[in-house]
Amino acid sequence: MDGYDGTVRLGAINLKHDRAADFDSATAAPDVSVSSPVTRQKAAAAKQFIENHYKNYLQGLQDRKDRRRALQRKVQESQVSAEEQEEMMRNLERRETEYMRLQRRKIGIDDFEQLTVIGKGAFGEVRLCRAKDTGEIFAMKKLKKSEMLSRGQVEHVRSERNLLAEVDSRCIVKLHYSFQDSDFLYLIMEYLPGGDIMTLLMREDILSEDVARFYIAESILAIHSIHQHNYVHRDIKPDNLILDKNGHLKLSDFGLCKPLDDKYSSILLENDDLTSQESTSETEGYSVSPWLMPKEQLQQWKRNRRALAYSTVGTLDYMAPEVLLKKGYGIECDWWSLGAIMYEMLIGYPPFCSDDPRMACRKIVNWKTCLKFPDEPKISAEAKDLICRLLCDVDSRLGTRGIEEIKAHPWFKGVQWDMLYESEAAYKPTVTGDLDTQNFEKFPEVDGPPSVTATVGPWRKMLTSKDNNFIGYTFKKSDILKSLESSDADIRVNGSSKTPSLITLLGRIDLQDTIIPESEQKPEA
Amino acid sequence: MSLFGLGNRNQKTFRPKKSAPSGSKGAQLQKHIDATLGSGNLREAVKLPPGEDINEWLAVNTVDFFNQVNILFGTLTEFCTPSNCPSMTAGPKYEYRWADGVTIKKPIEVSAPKYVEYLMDWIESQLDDETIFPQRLGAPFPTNFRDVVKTIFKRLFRVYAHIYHSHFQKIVSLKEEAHLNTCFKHFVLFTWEFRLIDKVELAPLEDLVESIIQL
Repeated sequence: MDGYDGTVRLGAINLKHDRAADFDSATAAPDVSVSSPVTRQKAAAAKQFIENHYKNYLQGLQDRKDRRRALQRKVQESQVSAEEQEEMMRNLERRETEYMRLQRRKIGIDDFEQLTVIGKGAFGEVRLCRAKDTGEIFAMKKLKKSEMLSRGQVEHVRSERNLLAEVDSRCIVKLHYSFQDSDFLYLIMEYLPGGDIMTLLMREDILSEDVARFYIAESILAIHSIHQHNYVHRDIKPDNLILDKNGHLKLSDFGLCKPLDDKYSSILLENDDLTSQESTSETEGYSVSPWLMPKEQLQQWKRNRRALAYSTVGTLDYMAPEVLLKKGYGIECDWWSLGAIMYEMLIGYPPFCSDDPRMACRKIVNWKTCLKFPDEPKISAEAKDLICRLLCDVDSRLGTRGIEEIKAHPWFKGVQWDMLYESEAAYKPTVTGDLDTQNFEKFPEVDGPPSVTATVGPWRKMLTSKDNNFIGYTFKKSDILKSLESSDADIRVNGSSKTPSLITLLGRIDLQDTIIPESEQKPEA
Repeated sequence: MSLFGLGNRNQKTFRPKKSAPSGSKGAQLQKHIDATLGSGNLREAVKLPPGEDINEWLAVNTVDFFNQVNILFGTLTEFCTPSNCPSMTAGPKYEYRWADGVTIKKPIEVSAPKYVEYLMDWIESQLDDETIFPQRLGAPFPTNFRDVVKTIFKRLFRVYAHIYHSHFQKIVSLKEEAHLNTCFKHFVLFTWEFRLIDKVELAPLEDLVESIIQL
């Protein structure tokens, strides 16, 4: 085979001289001409891709060493025979090899069976799907590239993917895979069948303080987990707070809502109006508290609320004033949003809601005048105090100096922060089976599963040249820890680990997944 | 030697000039490597992990190096054009012609971007071939797997050689030299660890390679 592409040495003196001259010229006068914006964008994405690669690659090697060392330590303490010790080590080695192979396996749309639509909006849809090889159920978020580009959403898409890929927390919905084809970006995420807090609030109107306390507390842990990774969510709202099948809360962005910078700009074209009280009618307009609005108007707001959740605009009702005013914001803006959510949980409506988004913005910016509490329903003094300490100036807002000052507030007295996700949730959603979507809105299958019109190959062009806006989008999350946990279980139960066949290995994992729900269902029955 | 340095020896083949210092991104990359491995030593990172199958280790790294070369070269498409690079050269003394032994049996002279396109398409077809790079758990590697890997590495080296000789100043102006150097260093250390490229094939970047390999 070497003969086909051997190196050819150029012997012509003139040719050599010319090329040498060219090279010297390049060296003598380095060309620093400006490159095109597309090239600079590609270079930035390439650098990010390489940095991410080495970060993950080296961390992966370190984790592997740690796993091996931990098993060696455990084996020596377990008092098993030398043969069994060797068996355990070989078992770990085989799993590591399998994991390494999975790392280079390509993931694409053909690996998933698409099922029920659970969310739909201008940018795309969210759908239940099943991995064809394992049968595992995921939520597939599918985003139209053309919409991302035309609406200036590329950075939002990248931010979400990067956050989900980087943050591994029980408080955050898990990203398992991300990939693309010529028309769409795909995020394959953990499916949370409990629905979202928005749906819960629409059904319940108000929550008791005990239920609200539980979910505000879990929200605090979730928000803190992304702050620890230097991310600001900026758009915390009930739509983004999702419940798993046991009723525990995870932070996500299922609503496909992305506040548009353009929309902000158009709203802020009336920037002066936001802070002025020029006319009596305007003053009267935005000083009207939600509970004083006609009942029909409130019902209309609720109906609009769900539509807004799936629109390109989304809802601004929970957004901090400094975000709206674009005065520069930090993580504190997320605590404001939490305060607005808490108000809605206890009172039944967001504190600054309005049919008109601009009116809502004015109310938020003029929160000092507009934040009021109705006589009914009655809430505790501590709850009211906490809300007022979250819906206030950044400087005096709880959380600005750390999460502990929120946790220390009297309203949270008795909350066991370390045990929240292990304890029984305050609300138990009704979930029947793995494919249950009753806690999500129904969407008609207008076009059915999409026909295969999008082109997938060649793979590397998806990685680079064709869509330079989405370079490096592919991602695979490690499931090695889950596999190793079952390995630990083997040691505890049997004192030694058998060597299952591959089919048995995969089957056992599936079996384990199905056992847990059954045992949980028994107490209920 | 410094992770990002190109060695102190006088470069006879070419003299890459760092007219622009590495930006904060390069520092971040160094920070990632230092934070994880302490000394930032990629030499340890290329070694076969204990208990690992040699072919699996070669396979997963081949995919990674393919992706890196692909994405780095992708930033140069504005400059690496048929008119600027009418043939696939690595400095004044070396020119490569393309043949894959299947659809193009006799080597043909093509422009550099065309050569790289042929090359990357060919490598991807190898990576996608389940009989060569098996993806299903339990499927075996072919007996000639290492030979395929060696051919892939030999040809990937040519892209690096072309970039360093023909487009390094563009890499510098795009502030990518730290990333290019890190990827290439990793590539060279890996190929040296497993003897994947004959020394004669490394000649176009001989001094650079020597400075990386020597401790």
